[in-house]
Amino acid sequence: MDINDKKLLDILTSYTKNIYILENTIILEYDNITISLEIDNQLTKNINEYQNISISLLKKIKTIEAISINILMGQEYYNKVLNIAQFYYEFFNKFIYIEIHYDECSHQYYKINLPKKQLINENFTKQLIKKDFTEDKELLNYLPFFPLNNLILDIPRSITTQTKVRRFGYLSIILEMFNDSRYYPSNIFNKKIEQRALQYNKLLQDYIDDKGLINISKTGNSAKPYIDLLISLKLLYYQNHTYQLSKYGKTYTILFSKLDLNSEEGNKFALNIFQKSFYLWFLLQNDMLYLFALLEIIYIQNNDTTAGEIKNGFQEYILESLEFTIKYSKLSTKSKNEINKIITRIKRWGKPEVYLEHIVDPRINWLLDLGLLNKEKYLLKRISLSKSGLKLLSCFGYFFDQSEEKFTISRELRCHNFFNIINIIYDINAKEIQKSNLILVEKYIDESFSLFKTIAPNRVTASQAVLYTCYMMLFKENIIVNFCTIKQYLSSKNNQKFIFDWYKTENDGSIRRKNDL
Amino acid sequence: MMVQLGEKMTYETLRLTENPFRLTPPLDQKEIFWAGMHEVKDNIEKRIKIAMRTQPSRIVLNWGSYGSGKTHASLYFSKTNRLEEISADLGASPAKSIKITLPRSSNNIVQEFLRSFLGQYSLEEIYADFKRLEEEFNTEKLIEMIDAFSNDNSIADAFKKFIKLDLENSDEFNKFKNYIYGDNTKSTLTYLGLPLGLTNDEQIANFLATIINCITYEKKLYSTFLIWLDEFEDIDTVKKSLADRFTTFLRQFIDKTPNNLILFLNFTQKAFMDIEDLSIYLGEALTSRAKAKIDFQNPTIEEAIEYVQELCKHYQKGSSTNPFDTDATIKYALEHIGNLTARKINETFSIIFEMALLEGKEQITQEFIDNIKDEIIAWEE
Repeated sequence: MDINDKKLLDILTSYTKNIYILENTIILEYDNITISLEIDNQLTKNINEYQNISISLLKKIKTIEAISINILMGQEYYNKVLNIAQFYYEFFNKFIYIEIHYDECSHQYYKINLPKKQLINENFTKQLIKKDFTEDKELLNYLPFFPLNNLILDIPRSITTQTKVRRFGYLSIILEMFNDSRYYPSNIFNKKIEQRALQYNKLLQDYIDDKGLINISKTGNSAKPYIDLLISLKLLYYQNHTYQLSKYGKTYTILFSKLDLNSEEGNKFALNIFQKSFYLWFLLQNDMLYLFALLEIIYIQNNDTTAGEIKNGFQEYILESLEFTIKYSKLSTKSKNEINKIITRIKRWGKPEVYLEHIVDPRINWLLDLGLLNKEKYLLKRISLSKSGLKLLSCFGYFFDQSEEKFTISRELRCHNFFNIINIIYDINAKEIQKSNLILVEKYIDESFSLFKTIAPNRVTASQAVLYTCYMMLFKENIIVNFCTIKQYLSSKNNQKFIFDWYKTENDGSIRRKNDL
Repeated sequence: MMVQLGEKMTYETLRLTENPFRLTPPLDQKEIFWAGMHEVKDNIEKRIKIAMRTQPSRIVLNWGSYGSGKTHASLYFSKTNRLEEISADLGASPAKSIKITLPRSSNNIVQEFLRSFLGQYSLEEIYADFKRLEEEFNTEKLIEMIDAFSNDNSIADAFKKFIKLDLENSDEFNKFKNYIYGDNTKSTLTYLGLPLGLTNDEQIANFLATIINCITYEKKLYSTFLIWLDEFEDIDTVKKSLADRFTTFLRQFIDKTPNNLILFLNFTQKAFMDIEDLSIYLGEALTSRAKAKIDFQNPTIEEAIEYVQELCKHYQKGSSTNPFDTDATIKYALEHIGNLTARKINETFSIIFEMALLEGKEQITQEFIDNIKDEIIAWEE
């Protein structure tokens, strides 16, 4: 055995509780973690199951080939992985990456590969094997969620952004302009926004800082990135040289006026709880990859980092995350080919620092607007997740534990659990829906027929009616009901009031009232 | 138990001439008829009657689920003699009706629309109708109309050339046809003595508007002209630039045809990716004109039973009895297939009749339906 391996083995065995062996794998058990060593020679006769051995036998090891931490899925949590990653980052300023493994007894576990040269750092390794990574951390361990099964998966989505789109408050200002006019011709829309924004400039400065300010420009360029973002988030729609609210944008404006919740601090840019949760829905829908990755990176970087440090590791982290998805997700091969294309594109970023300015900087402000970052720290130029941010990260981690899907289950989350997530992260304290509450659901769907009236007779777009109902139930009735719960009710025999059609291709449907009622 | 396939395997066992329920729309005029759904039919006919009696052009939006009978309605009024009956009842001139499916396959979407139009109302027919106009009024009056309606000198010139064409001279007629289809080569233009080709969308709108305005002038030849634009909801699957182009064309065409046109737009109530309805495609100009809506509602169970019975009756041999033992059997099947649409009813009963044929049944009972329910795609317990 070479001198480094010997030294390493000395450190590793100094606190171990139990040692097991099976073929070329040695398992070292500690109080809180399990480390596995791959060696190149066999120490015992052929056996079929793990066998307890004594430390002395380890002297026969020739070379330690690989070292990893194993975390049993289903019993321990992804949070633990994040905490180990954070600990590792603190020492080495590097990310660690995980794999998912099955052992002979079909236990499934997260496998964190650790480079040997780092483990020789005695200080690190000693702390690693003694530390309890589940204790004393801000991530939540228990979450009362609807279990996910028969998952419909999406490829990890992200939207293209320009560094200027920093403030969700402007999105609200633009969407509310459609209360004055049903549509805006494209040649005047930019200027109209700039004029409208002018009256809010002072408010923006009072908010936190004036990043992302829309100013009067000759060309209308100042408003353009925000219009593009609204289009990417599918809140605006462009056709026939005019801008119009999309079906979701319409839902926003109606909910906004119906709920009439005050913005915090009376400032347009400090979003109210409805606005936060509404935009979060659309970020999950369209930008899950960057959103989830950013939360993780901030957390791993000791939950106290800077925009610069995030950007340093971002490209690598995204690439690894996408590779991970290709390797372990149950996505179709066709979708995985799509991911490969994304990987190729990201690898080709000529100047990552330029790209990342457009990706990371806006999203940091979005997280701040959504209340997911700690505002006090932000003012000191430090990026740190707020309690809400940590809770959201825990939710994502929880679903990863449950489904082994990371960036791909946004649709399922929105459908089955979104309003629970909102309830948890923003401390709303709402109750789960009971059967007796269905009458309220019917009432809000009924209302949506007049609120979302279109040229089609007796018909409302399902996503509008259902989202409207979900948000009204949460914010008016203090009751959690998810999109899919309502969808299921509409398709069930319990529904006597409405005719419900659902179209898979559009992932939407229509609701009509029954005539004879 | 299956009977042996043999001579006896016809719908005669069920006292029918044919399976009454089809899966695809019929082409033969004889096979197109209207069963059940009386309210929808009445609504459409009311619209048509108003149009036969009054001047202003109208847009009517036909709404309904997939398979609710919108395409069938357009076939029914375009291919059967129902319009003749209505106009005769009213003592009005006949009406002309054509059905065009939203053009989707070509990059020249307006040209494709023109071709479909002329495919249903050929240049020869138009020529004959213009000749009748010339007789009805006189040549000067016809030229006056052309000048007034064409909005465009080169289109007016083309029509003046058109009415002087000699049908016997097939070469000349074909050259003119080519010209209409966009042939603007110098040789063709020189041959016809026309200065410009018919190439841009607005000219095509002018061309079609002139035809309709002339042939419905004072409701002499035709009291009204009906165009059914089928599958309009698919406009969201057409490339954005083409969709813009087509709806702009449609607006121009309507603006230039202020009288005696009804444009029925068939919309399936599907959901759209990003928008709640199609008003953005129609634009303010069309939406504001599309005041009339016809709702192809899903039939109630009672209406559906009536529909099934009327269809069976149409194919019944002589005055024989119903293939179902009781109405309750029909009701039983209808109650187990979810939201009702004509297409779903057709699919379901088509299978029921086919299975009855295979098994040599003389009567369809609830028990029989229970035995074969696995074959029925839409079946829900």
